Amino acid sequence: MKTKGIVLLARYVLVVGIALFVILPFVLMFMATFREHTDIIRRGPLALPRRFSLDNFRKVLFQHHFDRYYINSLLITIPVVGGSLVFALMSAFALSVVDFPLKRLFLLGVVSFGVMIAEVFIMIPLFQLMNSLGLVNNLLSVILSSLAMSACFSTLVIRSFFMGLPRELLDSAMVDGATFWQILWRIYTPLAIPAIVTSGALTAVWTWNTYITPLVLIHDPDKIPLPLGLALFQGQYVANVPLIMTGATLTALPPIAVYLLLQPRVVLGVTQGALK
Amino acid sequence: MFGAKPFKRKMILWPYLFLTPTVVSTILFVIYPFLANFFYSTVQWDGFGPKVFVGGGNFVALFRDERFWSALVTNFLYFIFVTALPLFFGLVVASVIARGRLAGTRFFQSAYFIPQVVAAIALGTIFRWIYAPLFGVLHQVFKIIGWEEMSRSWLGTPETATTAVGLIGTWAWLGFCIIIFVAGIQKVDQALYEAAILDGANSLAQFRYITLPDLRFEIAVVLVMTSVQCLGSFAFAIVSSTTAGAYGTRPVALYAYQLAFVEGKVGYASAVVVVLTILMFAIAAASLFLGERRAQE
Repeated sequence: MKTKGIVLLARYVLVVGIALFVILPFVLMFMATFREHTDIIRRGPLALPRRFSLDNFRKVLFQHHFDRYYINSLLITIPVVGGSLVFALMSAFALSVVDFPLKRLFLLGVVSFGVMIAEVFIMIPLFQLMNSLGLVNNLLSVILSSLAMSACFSTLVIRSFFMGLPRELLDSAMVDGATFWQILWRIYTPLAIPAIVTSGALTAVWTWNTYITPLVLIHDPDKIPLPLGLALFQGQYVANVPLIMTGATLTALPPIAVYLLLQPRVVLGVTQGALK
Repeated sequence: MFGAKPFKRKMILWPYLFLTPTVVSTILFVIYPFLANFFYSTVQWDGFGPKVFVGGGNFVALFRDERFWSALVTNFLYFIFVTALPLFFGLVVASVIARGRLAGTRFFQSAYFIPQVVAAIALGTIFRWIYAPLFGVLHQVFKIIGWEEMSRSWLGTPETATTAVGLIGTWAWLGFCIIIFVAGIQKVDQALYEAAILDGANSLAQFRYITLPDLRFEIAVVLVMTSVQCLGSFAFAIVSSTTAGAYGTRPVALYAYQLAFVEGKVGYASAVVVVLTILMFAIAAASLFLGERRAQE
């Protein structure tokens, strides 16, 4: 009995220990935002902050252009999430309720294939394409390419949800004389809220964090989103740890908040996405 | 599959209209660039002037390119840190904590996933400070335990830089692996374990003959996810925000980027991307084959 207790205790220690190991870098980052660089040098990086002032946040946001980067990130993320969900609902509906010629080609050859293509594979021709369209240094270029990739992913998530809905739902609506357009938006979409939340949250997090696509397409420092802004900032202010950690906190906090709010759905979505 | 069963009608137009936004945007902004990259790999081109067709010339040059091989070796090292280590420790930890649910650990396990939702650039930024000489976190820790002379600029020394960068990946992906494996183990029929215990199988044998074969699919998933990230955007962003590719830390993807956008060798860079693409699809196919076999058994 005693050894059983020790084994149980050891398992708890392992679970909590790994949680601390994963979180510690974020705690250090967050603590540093309340300190000053001279304080880090004098009292070492592990000391606790002495006072909780938001000075560093104010400086990074308003003197080091993170307010601009925030706006740019929102200007990219909001249309990508909204647009890709509308696109995905439409295509998922078409790919789940009827059969038609070339359906498998669209499903496997376009949508599933689109999900497998990583940013790295397309970065060079994407730049050439956007350049010839005159969209380099225009947020629209990042929005369009992120939107397409996200629409494919969300189509698969929402489609598997639609496939689980009973046939009678569609039949009875058609007997009532509803068009497919009405059936999609009035009946299927409200039911699909869980799948929409999952894919929307993941799209938001991924779009917020994208680095390569905007790196290739946006060169004007006034138009870059947060991850690029952070990279630029840390290159310029290597010697000021609290300011850089404040920038990292500002970049990391919104996705962490989304994750903590919608946690089980996000984990489920990534697992599902991974399983596809 | 139960539920809606697709039904046939004569010549319907609306599904095509509903598919148009997704399909057109995907073909234009994802599939076209993907295919164009293969074409680019056969030309010599600075990105602006005329393209000169060189056939397989870029690939022949690639074969003799030392920088390419060194990037490939670096990627292989990252594979150990980003894929192999999290996979191994994830399996071990998950098989210890997943059996017989541990009450009250949900809260702690939710922390495991946080590195997955934070921009890799931000992760790299935090670790650049952790690894920094003089005012870095590790330096302070070494000082406290009295190993000050062992401390160094972890990211600024060729001997340690690749390992230091790789360990960021181990840290970031360990929790992800644990979560996937815990979910997998909890799906395994607990009666199997009970029977094994009655037969006198020790925990190592249980792991070898029950846990491991049953997790084949989850292992495949982890292999695909982590190796794609280790070849692709995760390693790219982590390296960009820590060493910028210096001291032998440059992965293939970053090399391709620098060739195309810094050195202006667009055709040659596309050939590098082609190799990367083939590598990634081969790893994904091999992993899925591994996972698929289990479904058929």
